[in-house]
Amino acid sequence: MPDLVDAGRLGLGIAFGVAVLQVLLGLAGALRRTPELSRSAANAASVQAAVLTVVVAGLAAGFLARDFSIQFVADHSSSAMPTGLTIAALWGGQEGSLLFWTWSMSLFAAVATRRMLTADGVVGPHGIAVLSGLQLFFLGVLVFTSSPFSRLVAAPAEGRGLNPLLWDSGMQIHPPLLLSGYMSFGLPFAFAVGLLTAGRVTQPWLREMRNWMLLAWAIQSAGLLLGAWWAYRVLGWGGYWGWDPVENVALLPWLVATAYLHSALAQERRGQLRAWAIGLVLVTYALAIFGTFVVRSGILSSVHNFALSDVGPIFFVFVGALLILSAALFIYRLPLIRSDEPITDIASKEAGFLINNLLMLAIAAATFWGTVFPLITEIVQGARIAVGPPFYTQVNVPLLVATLGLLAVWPLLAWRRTSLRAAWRATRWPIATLVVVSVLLAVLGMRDGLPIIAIGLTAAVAVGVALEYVRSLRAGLARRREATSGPYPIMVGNRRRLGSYLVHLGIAILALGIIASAAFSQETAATVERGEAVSLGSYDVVFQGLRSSVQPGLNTVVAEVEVFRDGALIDSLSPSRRIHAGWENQPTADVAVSTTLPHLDDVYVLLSSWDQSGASATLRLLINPLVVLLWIGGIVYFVGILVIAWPAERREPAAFPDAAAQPAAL
Amino acid sequence: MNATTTTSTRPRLPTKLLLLAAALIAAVGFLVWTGTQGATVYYHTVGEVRGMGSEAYYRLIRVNGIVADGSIQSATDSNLISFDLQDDSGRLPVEYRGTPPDLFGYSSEDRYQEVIVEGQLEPSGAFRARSLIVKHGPEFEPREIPAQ
Repeated sequence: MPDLVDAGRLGLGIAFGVAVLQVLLGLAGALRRTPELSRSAANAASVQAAVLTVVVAGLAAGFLARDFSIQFVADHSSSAMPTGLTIAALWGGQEGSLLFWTWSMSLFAAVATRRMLTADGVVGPHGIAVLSGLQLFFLGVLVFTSSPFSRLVAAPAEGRGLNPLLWDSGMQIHPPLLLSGYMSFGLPFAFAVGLLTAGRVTQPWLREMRNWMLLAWAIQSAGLLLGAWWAYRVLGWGGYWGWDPVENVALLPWLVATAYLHSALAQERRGQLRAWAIGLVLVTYALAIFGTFVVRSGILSSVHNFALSDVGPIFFVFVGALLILSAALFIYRLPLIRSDEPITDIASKEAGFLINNLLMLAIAAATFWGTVFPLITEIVQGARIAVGPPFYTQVNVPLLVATLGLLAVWPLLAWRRTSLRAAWRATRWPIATLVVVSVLLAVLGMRDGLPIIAIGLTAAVAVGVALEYVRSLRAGLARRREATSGPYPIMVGNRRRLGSYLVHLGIAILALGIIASAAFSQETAATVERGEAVSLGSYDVVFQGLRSSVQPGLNTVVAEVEVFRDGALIDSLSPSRRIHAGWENQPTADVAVSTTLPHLDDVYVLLSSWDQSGASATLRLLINPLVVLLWIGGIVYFVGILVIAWPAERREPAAFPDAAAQPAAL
Repeated sequence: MNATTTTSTRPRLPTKLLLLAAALIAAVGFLVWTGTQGATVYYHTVGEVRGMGSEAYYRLIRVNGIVADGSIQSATDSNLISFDLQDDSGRLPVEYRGTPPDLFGYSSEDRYQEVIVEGQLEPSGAFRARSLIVKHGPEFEPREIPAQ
């Protein structure tokens, strides 16, 4: 067996050498305006990706071979761990996470550097130089401070293994998605900085930048959503989001990226908000690196305990340098990138984009403030404080409801200007839906204002989206009747717009789930004998007994319970606890959840503790209404993203095919 | 129409949009301001809480520490849990009414449990916690056991 530690070190050394070469070639290509040099830099990026792929494969092989002479493998895996989890242990620590980051960045960069050259021959070399610089920075941090290839003099017979909380399929997808999400915000950033240093604005370049941001934003969305799912299903505290600093900093770049994607549309279609959009790209990346810094430095007190390391200060300096340099460059180039197209009317699509931007930035600013305020107080006053979830709820829930209101109305308006009459024609059905649904809920006895409005607005968004699809379908059918030969489109309309309506619908469903579950969740706990029930609301959860299973290194205690609603049996559940060898003091819960139809309540049961004889157990029971809407909304959201990103079969002949065909202009 | 007006006139946003933006910023500023006043809680050490005496009564504070070995007692007939919170400056008896968080209660000699309690000091000297937060077990790496 080859020595993986030496091979890994050698591989990282080669990758670092290639990265230095890539930066030199990239800089030379940009400064001397020699496309051949830039093309060589792009080739170097491919070589770097290939070398890092081999290095990652090597470390994965070390994990699979259970080579505990590699310290990183010994610290994060054990023979008791199943194969899938053993590979996931690769990102189970600081060094492996950074290797994963650098590797995935190299894959993205191998593609992006090529696309930069085709998108714009003048700006491309600048983008390549910037991207190469970012890659070199991360590779440098990896090689000089956080290499996963260090050897243990005496290899232990058994590794320490991952914390049992991480023994879950979520571990295989959530961390790599968030790591790639944070990482991939660097690509649009390289496009933006390249544009600024080159001092040239072209549409193909802006479009390519937007596409990379769309990709980064989609990855980060998936990471956030899976994080919520994991917290809910595995961590067993009954919630999915706790406004913890580590969660907040992952949300911040997503919010600003969302704002950017909207102003980029105004830029693309009407030439508006151009400098603003470029500024948002810069801010997004600064926030992504800020998030990485917060997570890795442990500077903010968090319930998440990550592997802390000395890379904190490095990232702090990096985020500071990024902010100062990109702000200076932005101000210097402002006259050049500024757009001269004004937004003329509040009743227009582009005004909606601007309001969306304000709302997203307001949520981001409030969340940022709540996250760093304890730090500021500690530095200024020397007092330690905590900003609790009530702060975020008080500020962000009204903003979320305002966002829903925006979603229900503004996307239906036309570009440029919508007359009051046309605006009413476009939005009367959604508005009528809002009124009818809200009044109906109030009549039916609901008394909480926010959930009423949230449900009404979600219904209004759904009606707006449905109308848009019907309109598109009708136009498609009409064209089909007229057409004498194929292809026969089923739907006519801008696919990106139809996709983004689905994303909006997904967000509305998600928001409804968030607001309703926050308002109506109930919780109880009780110690019960066999045959006795824990009761809450309309639900009784009857304890039927315990069974246990013993595997090597793992004992599992399972409680059998039956769920009754209004006296009728609806489901059987098996909440359990796993006791892993070496982690006896941390029995890890496997939550059991039953989603009831048609009420959409989650009956969430946890086994807290039990009597050794098996005669009694302590069960925790939560009734979480409408949490399932988070996952449904999430699926709708990603279907929407797929519709947006699906490659077009043929290019639309007109530059702006549907600018003239707005519903309000009919 | 002359050249100076076209070059010096920056694109302006419509007044309605500016008003809306101003209203939004003002509303968010207000929410953040009141939220910061209302939702911030100060951390104190056990020693500080003791030293505050009657000043600490009826004032919401947070204390961070570890659950003292074997100090957890839970009443069988009610959901009252009591334990001693320990830090470098002493021990503080804590009472918590409600469902404890999932991982609470697995403190032992070789693996300590770090918790945060939020609540008020009672004149009896006990700390009445309205929330009890267990810091996650070290998620990504087994933590070294602190030397006692």
